[in-house]
Amino acid sequence: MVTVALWIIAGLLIIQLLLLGIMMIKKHRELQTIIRLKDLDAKLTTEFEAFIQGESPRHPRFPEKKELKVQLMEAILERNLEGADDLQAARIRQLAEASLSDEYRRRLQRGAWAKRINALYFIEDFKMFNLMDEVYTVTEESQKNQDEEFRQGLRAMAALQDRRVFELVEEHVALPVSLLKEIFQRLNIKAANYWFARFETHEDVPEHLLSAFISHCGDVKSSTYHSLVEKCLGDSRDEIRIKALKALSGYGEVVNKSLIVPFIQSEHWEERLMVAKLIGNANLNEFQKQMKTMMSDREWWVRFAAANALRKLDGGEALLRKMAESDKDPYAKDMAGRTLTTKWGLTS
Amino acid sequence: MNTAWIVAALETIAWIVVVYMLFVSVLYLTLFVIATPKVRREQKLNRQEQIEGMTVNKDTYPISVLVPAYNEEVGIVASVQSLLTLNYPQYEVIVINDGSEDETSERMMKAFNMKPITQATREHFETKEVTAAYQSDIHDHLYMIEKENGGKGDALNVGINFSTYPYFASIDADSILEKDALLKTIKPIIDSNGQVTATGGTVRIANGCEIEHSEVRTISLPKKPLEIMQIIEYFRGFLIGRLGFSRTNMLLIVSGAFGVFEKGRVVRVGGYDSRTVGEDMELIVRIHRSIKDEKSDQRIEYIQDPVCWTEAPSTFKSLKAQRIRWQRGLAETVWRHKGMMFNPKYKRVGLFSLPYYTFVELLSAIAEFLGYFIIILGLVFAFIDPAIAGVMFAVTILYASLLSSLSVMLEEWTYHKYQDVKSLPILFLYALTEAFWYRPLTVSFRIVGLFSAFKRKREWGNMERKGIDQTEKKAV
Repeated sequence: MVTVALWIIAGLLIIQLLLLGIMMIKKHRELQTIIRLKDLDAKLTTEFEAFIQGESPRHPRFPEKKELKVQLMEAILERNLEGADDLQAARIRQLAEASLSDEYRRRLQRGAWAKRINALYFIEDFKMFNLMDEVYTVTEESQKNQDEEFRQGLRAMAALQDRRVFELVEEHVALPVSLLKEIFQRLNIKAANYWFARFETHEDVPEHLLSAFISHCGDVKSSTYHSLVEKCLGDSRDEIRIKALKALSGYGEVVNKSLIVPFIQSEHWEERLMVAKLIGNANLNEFQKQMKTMMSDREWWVRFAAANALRKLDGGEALLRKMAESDKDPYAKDMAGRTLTTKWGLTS
Repeated sequence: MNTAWIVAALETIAWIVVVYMLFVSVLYLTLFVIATPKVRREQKLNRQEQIEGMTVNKDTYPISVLVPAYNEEVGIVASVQSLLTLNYPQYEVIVINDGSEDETSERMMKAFNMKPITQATREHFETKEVTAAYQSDIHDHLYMIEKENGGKGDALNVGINFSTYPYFASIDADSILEKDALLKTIKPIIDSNGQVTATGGTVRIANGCEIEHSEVRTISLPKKPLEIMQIIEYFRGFLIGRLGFSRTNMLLIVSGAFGVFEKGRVVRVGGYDSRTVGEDMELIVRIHRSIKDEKSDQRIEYIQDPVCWTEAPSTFKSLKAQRIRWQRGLAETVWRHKGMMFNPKYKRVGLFSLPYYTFVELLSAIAEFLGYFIIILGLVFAFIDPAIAGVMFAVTILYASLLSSLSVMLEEWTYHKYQDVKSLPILFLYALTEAFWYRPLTVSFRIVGLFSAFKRKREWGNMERKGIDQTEKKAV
């Protein structure tokens, strides 16, 4: 029995030693490739910069070996895309389309999971419109898994202005708002208009999409949809109203101020919190008194937001100082003290 | 007659231990098989592209980074400096000085020009008294709280009370985070639309690495065998164990060195338990418990990327202290949640995870101790059948050495962080020696830990720090 046990151990050890040998050889080769890539990158970057700035009529000659070529092109093109002007970006994208399309098409059709996602990342960055159908196919196929491939596929579709992306996002109600916002960020105004025109009123838009859309409008301060965001303050869905208040905070502007008054005494603390933030961000000085009252709110977050809002309003700091010294409500007094002693804007 | 009876009893125990070790080895291999597809699938994923958009995304959840510190004068400034340069859109760093007796506070004050602020803190949990709060005049998002000594759990609870963001990260004051650590760790939470309630990342040992200006410049192996063995141990624990458990939503440990949590969930379960030394594991078990009690779909996830570097004990004394503390923490957690054990209500966690941590992680020390005892009795004193002792010896090598060498290969296969060829055979050969010296050593520490669990004395268990950042040393 000892012999059998020892043989098993010896067998396992030999297998591991063989694996170790193979891994050492592989590692040696990989390290050599890394050094080669680094050298080539340094050399080709200089030549490529000359090409992209119009100093040289031709782009540098990338290595023939496919893996090497793709890796180098991805790195160099992506680096140069940052800070490139429109003309330079167009040249980079043209080169990417001409040189990388076949490889990315192959990866999307037959590549492993990670390779497909990597291809999607670069298709998005290089805006390779010629691969729009392949991107759609791979995204549609991956929707059952709802994993990174599906998410990146949606981002890439949006970047390529493929309007079929709306069909996919409308089907999946559990997609995170942050992802939906990323999609809206990538779409141009025409695509957004096309999508929004499909609904008669904002009440017809699915909640998850409308939440993301108005939130996005607030982030980019979209003047086209400012009135829509204000309209959403009257929406029957709690989440939409909160998102609308938050979006208006982003705008830093409210046209119809009467619409926000009911939120000051809302039964939902999230609404009271958001309206306080909005009042501060939009500098609505006429609400100073209400903010002072909200400093005694039962919810810590509302007191916190009201104090930060007060600080932004005219005469707010003086009022806070007075409250920190002598307010009867100890909670309001503490919060005023905290707001005055912490640095401006940080915790708002 | 009596001797024959003792020999028979020992031989029976020997067979039980052999079967136990084989069972545990198979279990490890099963976890390895479970972990492999995910590791393999994500191996070539472009991690940089994956998080690129998150840095400018307004929806990347803001995070409060909590740094509990007790007598951390050696490394606190370097750690905080590292945290201030993280690549993340919105976060605050809160250092909680848990009544340190050294110069932790003074060094923070001086390095970051801390100014007193008035507190208006929510009290989610009762804690030891907070005596002062400060904000940096240089870095707006850096705070320090002074409090009476109450242990790490209590310090973290104070940090949660003070924090303003919906998620928090807890990090040990002696650890260094990778620049993208927060982005990588929060990603599963964002992608799951909040369904992931806590995430942990792989922690690596920084001993031997070249660290300057709070950044790991060169990853290399340390010289001391004790430190190298801990590196191998971490590979085994993180790459084989945790990944396998995470894949099946049974993970019971998010390393105390670094983890990200949904604050609302932690508040609901009552925060950290300041009475245990294993507050990190105890919290995770309570989170699992509350998820199951609420019949929620939330889960805890582990990301395989190495995101945190920490200083491992470099002396036998500090290693012993650490292992005793770990073992005690584990024992206390298991005891406190014994009601979940084999309880079908808690599904996989109750039926598999908790029994695993009890019978494998906690009590394996006893089985291994008996194993070594039998080997000595058989091979050295010929007290029992040498054949049995021989089988035991072979199984111990399989259990302690071959599994560890396998984890070295797994690391090379996945992350290959060590940028030279020679590190690989060095790690491999050290792994093979594990059964002969390192394992018996840690087993003895764990046995002591088991006994000390009954004493219930609370302490921070800090080891003697050398500091892992070499910037100051070089300057000197």
